[in-house]
Amino acid sequence: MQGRQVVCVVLMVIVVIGVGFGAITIMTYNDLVTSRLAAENDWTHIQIQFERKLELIPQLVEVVENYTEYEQQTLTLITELRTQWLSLNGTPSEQANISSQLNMAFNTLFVAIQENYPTLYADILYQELFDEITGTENRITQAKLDYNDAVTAYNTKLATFPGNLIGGMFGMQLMILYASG
Amino acid sequence: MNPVPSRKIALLAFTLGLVIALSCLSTVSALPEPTGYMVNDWVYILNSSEEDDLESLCRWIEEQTTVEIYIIITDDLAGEDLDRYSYLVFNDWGIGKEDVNNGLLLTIYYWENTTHFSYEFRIEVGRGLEGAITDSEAGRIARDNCTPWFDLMYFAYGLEDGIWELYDEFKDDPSVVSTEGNRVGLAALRYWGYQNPLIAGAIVAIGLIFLFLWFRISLRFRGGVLIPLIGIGALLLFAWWWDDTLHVLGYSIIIALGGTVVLTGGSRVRGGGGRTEGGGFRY
Repeated sequence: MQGRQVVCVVLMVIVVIGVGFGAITIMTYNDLVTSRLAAENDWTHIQIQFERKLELIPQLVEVVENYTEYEQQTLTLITELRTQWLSLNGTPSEQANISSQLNMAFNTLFVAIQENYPTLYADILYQELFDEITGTENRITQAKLDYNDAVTAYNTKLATFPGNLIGGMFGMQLMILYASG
Repeated sequence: MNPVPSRKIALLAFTLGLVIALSCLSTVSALPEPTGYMVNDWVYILNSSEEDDLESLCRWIEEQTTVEIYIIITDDLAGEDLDRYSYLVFNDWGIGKEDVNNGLLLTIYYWENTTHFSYEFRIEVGRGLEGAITDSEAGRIARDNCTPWFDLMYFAYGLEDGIWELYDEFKDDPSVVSTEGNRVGLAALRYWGYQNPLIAGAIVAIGLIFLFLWFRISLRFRGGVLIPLIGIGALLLFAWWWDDTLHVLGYSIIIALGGTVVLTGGSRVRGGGGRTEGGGFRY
């Protein structure tokens, strides 16, 4: 009798621990996958806004070309970067690199236009394009910040207990933050 | 003296201090809560009639087109820049109807000292309004209709002019009109409670007063004390559910207290504890 009771108790304890561990595993795993997918969704938001910005580049080039004589270099650079970005199916770091180059080229162009080409700067078409580009720039910034928030939330879950155990079991990797341009 | 307890106390104090410090940190950069108004002037650069006019303009536009226009004038961006602040507040407050995302948020970040003032202005456009109001149109309206007034410190004129101009952009666009049907059932009840917290609170308060009277009577007769107590608890929870900004709950408690005082008398007299020997006269 005594021996059987002990066996029974031990079995029950094992079953309880097993069920508890299973439940924690499932919940943590689902939580990790959910936040990973949320972060990936935020990543696509960045891509969508980038595409929007790239679509504006030909228009900008067209408007600016007619007015400016000395900015050909910058315009070519911008067009080249656009092509590079389009042929890229990339990691956050690669994208960050090209997008920061693109931003610098844009800034050079915008400053040059403001300083040297008052007629173009006052042109309504240019003004509208400028607004569209800065507006898109803002969307990209917000999307990047959202992406980084989501990635940080996911990485925190993955690095803390019990996510570190469960994530390790299923081979989950930390996601990379979008470095500021 | 044993050194261990003091170390424990020190550890406990350190933990408590850390918790308090962390909770303070988290409240420093907190975004504002929805106030229940569409015009929110937290630095008082609008006078009250201007504020009322803008509020009724925004509400009228909401009735006409279901487009929600909110205004925030603040000197505290909660540690963000204006763009991020507008973005976060817009999404946090859920400006615009859910099915078409037809919200607009005009944010003015205002700063002044004794001699100068400056401002930053942003028009944040909801996703569903982007077709009607593109970035360039928002830019044009901000440049032509709003900021010329703002520069002269006529903030109300600039806002009103800008809102009318924005309204012109989307008023004929059927895609921005929310087809979200009228709320039905419990959702309608909750929304009504949110809109009319005072009336809802009065209704709950009548129940509270009745149950409180029942409770006192049942105390006297030593029976069924639990039923009214449970009823009061359930009613308070109901008031909480009805309006989670706690207006209904607060009003109902205040009205119930006031009503009980009115019904049972606010000033009562109790005997001072004197005795009699049986003296007097019987007719």
